[in-house]
Amino acid sequence: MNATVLLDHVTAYAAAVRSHLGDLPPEQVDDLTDGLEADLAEALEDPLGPVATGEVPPRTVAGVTGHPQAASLMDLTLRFGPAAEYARELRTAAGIPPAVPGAAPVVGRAARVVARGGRLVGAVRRAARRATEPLRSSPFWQAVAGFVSTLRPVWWMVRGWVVFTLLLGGLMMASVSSATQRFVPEDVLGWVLLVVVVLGSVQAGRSAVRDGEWVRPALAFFNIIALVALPLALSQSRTMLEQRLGSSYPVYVETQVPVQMPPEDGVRVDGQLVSNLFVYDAQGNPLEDVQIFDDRGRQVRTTYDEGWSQWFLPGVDEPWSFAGVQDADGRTRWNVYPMTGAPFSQWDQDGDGKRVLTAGSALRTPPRPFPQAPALVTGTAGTAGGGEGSDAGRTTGGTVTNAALTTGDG
Amino acid sequence: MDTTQLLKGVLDVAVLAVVADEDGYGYDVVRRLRAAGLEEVGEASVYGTLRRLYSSGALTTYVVPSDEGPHRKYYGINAEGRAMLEAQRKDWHSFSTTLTTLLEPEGDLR
Repeated sequence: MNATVLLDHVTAYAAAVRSHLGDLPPEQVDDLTDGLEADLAEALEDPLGPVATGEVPPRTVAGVTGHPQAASLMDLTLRFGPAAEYARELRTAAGIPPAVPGAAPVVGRAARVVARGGRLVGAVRRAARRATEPLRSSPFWQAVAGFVSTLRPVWWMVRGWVVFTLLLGGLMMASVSSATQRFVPEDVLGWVLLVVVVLGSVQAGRSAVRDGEWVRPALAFFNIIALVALPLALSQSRTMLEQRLGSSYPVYVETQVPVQMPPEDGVRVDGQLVSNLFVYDAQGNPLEDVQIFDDRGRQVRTTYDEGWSQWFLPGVDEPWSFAGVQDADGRTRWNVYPMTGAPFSQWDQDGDGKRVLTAGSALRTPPRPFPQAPALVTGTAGTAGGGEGSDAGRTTGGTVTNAALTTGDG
Repeated sequence: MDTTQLLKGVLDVAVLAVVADEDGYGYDVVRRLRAAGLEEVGEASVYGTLRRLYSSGALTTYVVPSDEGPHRKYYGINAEGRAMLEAQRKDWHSFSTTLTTLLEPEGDLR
């Protein structure tokens, strides 16, 4: 018989026996089944070996001795009995109680939980093994399993890389490091670490394949960790690489920028919005229809509402709205003071949406703060600090400084 | 009579006796037991018994690697094992004598 094929079967059967001892601690399973493969193989190759109770003589089993060409399909359970039976006999003879829930010789709640988990895993594995027995013995499965097992080194390397990213992630939390270093080493130390981790992972995988079971629990832990972390690491590293490599991938970052609202137009005195201006001449007499500009020639306007807003005037119960003044070119001027207007209730809207006064109402000047302002001492040079004739506003004798005053037509 | 049941009680001493002759690995012990006439001995029972005797300190063990196959686990007897074998041998003699006497047909006593 082909020795390799025989060994494959023996290994599979031994693994099945071990799976039925899944409730025991791994060391005990190893202790119980160490050398089992050699014993099984030798039992199979012993054509004269007397047959124990319940065992089928090897020579009656097709493929074991009679038809070597059919050896790859032989069923060891015909020779040794079901793996579960075999495991039970083994453990009973070794003086270990059969697998009964709660009978495991463990102390402490944590140990019991672990043992229960172990039994559960064992039961699941046994059930899975039983359910897939016909499939696993098929040539197709053998081919697929062979193919997959040749890919194992790839997984070992991937596992190493994931562990590397996790390690760096952990290190990064402890210190300051660039984020991309988590996935691709950027310096010599990073590369050394990556190589060491990957080599370790590959070496662990190789020794697991060679020695069988003992490294399995620890490796299983790493495998699960790596499997869980892999999608995360992949997606994060992809984002990271795109940001670094792809200049075609602009990254839009939303940041809060405080925007200075432009100051409200209008004239303020002492922080308060001014609704109207009253102009007096040098003698303190009130002026009418005075146009006011600033030093750049811009109109000085107190209102920008085109007559639609309500303004509360000091000492007047009803709010007012103001009107502009037509200039010679037909434009409406809003820098002509004092502005005239009418109480808000006397305004209406015509068909064109323009602001009009109701019938019987007329524009008038709102109440002045005082009928007469103090008279100025004029005609004397340099009285107010400015050079003579240097200030356009001052030469006209108006009281508004820093603004050009031109008396209106009226 | 179900000899497998009988075998269970004496498997320890049988295995000890075989290993006391010469060190042996699992299937080797099975083969020698069967060659000695205990043909119905179960392989797993023998392996389990070897492990138990080792755990109780009656046997020593060592692994011999193999070039073309899995390694073999050899068992050898130690002083404690020999003492155990001697005690059980005495027990067996007295027990078997008693039972032989008991089972002897009446009037057939020698």
